[in-house]
Amino acid sequence: MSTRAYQELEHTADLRLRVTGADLPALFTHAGQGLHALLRCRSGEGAQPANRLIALEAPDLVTLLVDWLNELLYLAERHHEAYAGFCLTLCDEQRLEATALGWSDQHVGRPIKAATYHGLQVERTATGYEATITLDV
Amino acid sequence: MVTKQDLTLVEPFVYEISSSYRADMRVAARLYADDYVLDMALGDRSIEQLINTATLPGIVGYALAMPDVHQGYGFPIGGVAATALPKGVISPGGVGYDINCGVRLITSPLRADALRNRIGALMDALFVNVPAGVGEAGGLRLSKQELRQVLEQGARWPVARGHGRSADAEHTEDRGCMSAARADAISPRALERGADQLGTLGSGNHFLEIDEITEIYDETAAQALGLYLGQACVWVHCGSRGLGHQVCTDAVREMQQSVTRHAITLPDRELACAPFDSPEGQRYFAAMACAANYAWANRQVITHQVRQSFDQVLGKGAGEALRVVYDVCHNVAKVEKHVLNGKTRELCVHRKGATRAFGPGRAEVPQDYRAVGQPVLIPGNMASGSYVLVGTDKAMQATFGSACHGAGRTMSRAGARRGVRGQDLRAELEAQQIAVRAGSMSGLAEEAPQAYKDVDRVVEVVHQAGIARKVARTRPLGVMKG
Repeated sequence: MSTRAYQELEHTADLRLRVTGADLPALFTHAGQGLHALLRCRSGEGAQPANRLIALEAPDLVTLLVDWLNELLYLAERHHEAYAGFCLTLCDEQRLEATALGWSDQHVGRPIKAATYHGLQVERTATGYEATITLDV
Repeated sequence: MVTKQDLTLVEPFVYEISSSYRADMRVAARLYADDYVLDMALGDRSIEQLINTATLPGIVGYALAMPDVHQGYGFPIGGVAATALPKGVISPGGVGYDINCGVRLITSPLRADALRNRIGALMDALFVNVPAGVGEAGGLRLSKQELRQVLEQGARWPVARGHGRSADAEHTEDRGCMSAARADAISPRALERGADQLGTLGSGNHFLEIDEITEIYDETAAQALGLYLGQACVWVHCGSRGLGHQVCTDAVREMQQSVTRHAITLPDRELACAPFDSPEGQRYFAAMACAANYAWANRQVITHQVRQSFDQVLGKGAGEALRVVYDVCHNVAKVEKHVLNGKTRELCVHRKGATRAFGPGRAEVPQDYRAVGQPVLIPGNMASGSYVLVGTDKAMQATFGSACHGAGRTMSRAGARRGVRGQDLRAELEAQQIAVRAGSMSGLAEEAPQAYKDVDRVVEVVHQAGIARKVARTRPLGVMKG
């Protein structure tokens, strides 16, 4: 098993992101950071610190992970922001509360339309959790 | 793992996987392929995804894969699946996130030779006038009321405001408007994302090209479509932008919960679906139709921007002279009537990375093309070019009136970046007299010609299989990527 926090894997058309974490907050943090890396944001001249509060509820862990990434994609597009840091104050299998920390005046360099459920499982491993997410580009 | 031994060649260019291959398959699966396409399809998860599609409740005929097939999520890209109404399912994963991503072909009465020394200036004008890039706004800024009108009127909305003419909408699939659209089926978040993106190209595989028609294969059909050798034309490839992405996200999320209520078991959660006549199915269909209409309006506004660019560079009248040949969806679900086992049935036909290819005589085909069949527009890649075909009677019988939508990827984006530098690719294209305007060199590299299958081979499969007929081929003179 890879011990890297996140890693881009091969996919013919879209993107696959493998994330690991010692616990659920780490898994979700690394998923957010991996998404940020894949988006390849560029700062404009007016970039300023920007924070967004996020609160999500979902019926299961897989849905919570998909919701988390889609929420970040929505906020990034809507506000032209990029989030590289995450402060999770609550994270269990059905709820998440977090502050996404980043910058305004950002231009996304690579299109990502959505996180998908395709083949997605959040697995327990000897060192924590692992998931591989397919992202539509 | 599916192997060649699991596939039977049932007719030239058609391979079948029996419905007995896996216990949960409701119908057999068919792949349109030659050896080249087959090897590529077996190289990723395309066939496995096609087999998953064959498990959808209510699916009829075959789960189909076109020769541009490659792995996606849920359905394979290049997948076609029809379900019997009213109880058969509709699946947002069978349409995809970029609802009505599609392509429009526009011709100029000018010969490409007449434009050749103005291509750079034309591409510059297009790059300025057509906003592009990920999530970029910059198109028309719509009030809530205007946006709702766009969602329910489609291409007719910009035409009514002077961004085009009625003939443009007439030469668009469904005349640029799905009547099932209901703006109240759209979430506030989707509305928010659609407010400032009308008239924007986006990025990724979206493009705008000026091409030259370099081959005519069928003079009669070419004449009917108004195409001639040496003619200059414009291709526009884009979709429903963030609004469409949000519609799909919302529906996939909602149907995650409703599958249990409808007692649906799926091999992949991205295939989430609901009976067409259920509240969830009806809500998604109405919202998807809104996004499809938004995409048609988007390509219509871009057509206006292209006309403005031609006027600016070539003089007044050059833009007005541009004529929309046709505009097709690549990602959509439609209610259509097809003959199945001798009976006419109403079906929900999902095309995900596939093009409608209706044959001659169908009422859905514009009157002036009805004798030759619906134009099928197949982009290839930014170096070798694209194809115009027409739909056939065979497609009506064999593929629910469908054909491929492009060449289909064969290389991952990471692989393309490893093998190609954007700056080198631009230099190579410029050396071939293809002007390039791109917002991102890494984005250009990801869309390199070598990342795609050989479009000539792919198109030859649909032509030889008889599900679409070659009419013309075009070669790029200028390429714009977001």
